[in-house]
Amino acid sequence: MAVDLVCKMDVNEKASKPSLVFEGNTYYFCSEGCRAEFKRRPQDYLPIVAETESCCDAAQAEKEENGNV
Amino acid sequence: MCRFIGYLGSEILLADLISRPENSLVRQSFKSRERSEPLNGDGFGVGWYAPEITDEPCVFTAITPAWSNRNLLNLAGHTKSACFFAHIRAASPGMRVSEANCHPFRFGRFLWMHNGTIEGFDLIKRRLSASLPDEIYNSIEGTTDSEHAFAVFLNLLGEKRKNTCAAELGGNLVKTVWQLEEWGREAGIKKPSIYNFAVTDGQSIATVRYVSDPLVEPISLYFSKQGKYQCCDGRPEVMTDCCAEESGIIIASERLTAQSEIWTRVAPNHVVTIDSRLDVKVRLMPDV
Repeated sequence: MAVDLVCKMDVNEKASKPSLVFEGNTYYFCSEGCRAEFKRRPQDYLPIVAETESCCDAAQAEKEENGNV
Repeated sequence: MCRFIGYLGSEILLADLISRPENSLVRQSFKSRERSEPLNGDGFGVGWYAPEITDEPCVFTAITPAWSNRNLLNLAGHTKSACFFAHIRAASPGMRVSEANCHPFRFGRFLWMHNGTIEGFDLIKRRLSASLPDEIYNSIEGTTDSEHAFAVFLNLLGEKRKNTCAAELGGNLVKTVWQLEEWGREAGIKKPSIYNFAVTDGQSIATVRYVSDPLVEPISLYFSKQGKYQCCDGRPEVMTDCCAEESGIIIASERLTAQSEIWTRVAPNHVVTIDSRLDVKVRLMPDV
């Protein structure tokens, strides 16, 4: 079972539901409306992936090193 | 295309949603953020419930823009309710600006608002009117497609008008959309219609975000169920750790605050129901 990222409903991907390949991943949707909505603004619906070390972490470490927090 | 707000929950001062938030309905009347044309100045309306007096809501409408109506601002700062609807209007070209055409529309215990357009309304108006019993047909005071859609809703609700629930309101909203679509198809209308409807009986709310063509972006619609909403010192604030009996649900054409985490965008062609226990359900509009 997949989850429609737009409306958060469970979707049976084997039941010929609308789908979309985005950045190499296949996403399934409950309806053409949700598919079109995802296509319009995918960044609003994609899960946020935590980065292990970002440039912000490096900047924070530098600040702490300089005693400038 | 108008903008609206609906609220159900613990008693709240109307100003906390209508005039005080950063992106309040009054602000949206001259600078809405999610319409290409930001002006919604063809009148406004507020409907609210005072169940200690009567089950039927009070409605105040005016044809002035909301931003310049001192009566609205005064009233909103002195009126509390556990359920209210508010609407600012951007009239369709050629459509009359009159109090009778201002939302929310009222029938008995019910209030109704609409953002959008019934495409080719002139082509289906006659068959729509012919489908109505006298009681509902004669209750239509204005000329808008929105009020006529309300009449269809009331007719389809039938005897359940006397006693209904959130699920029935939501199901009947869907039936109303499909009925309008059927008449549109029969009349050969090709352009997509947009039906963001909201209805309440003072106990529950149902709203739908719909466009006939799934490839066309529907008008924006959000809900928030984050907790008690209040404006403190002019700044909007949501208290998420408040007790359950002090919470409320907001539906709104636009987010009222910049706190994007408390607003959920309603998916296209989905119906949202809020029952008297403030349980929110979102589901895809089923085929009939």
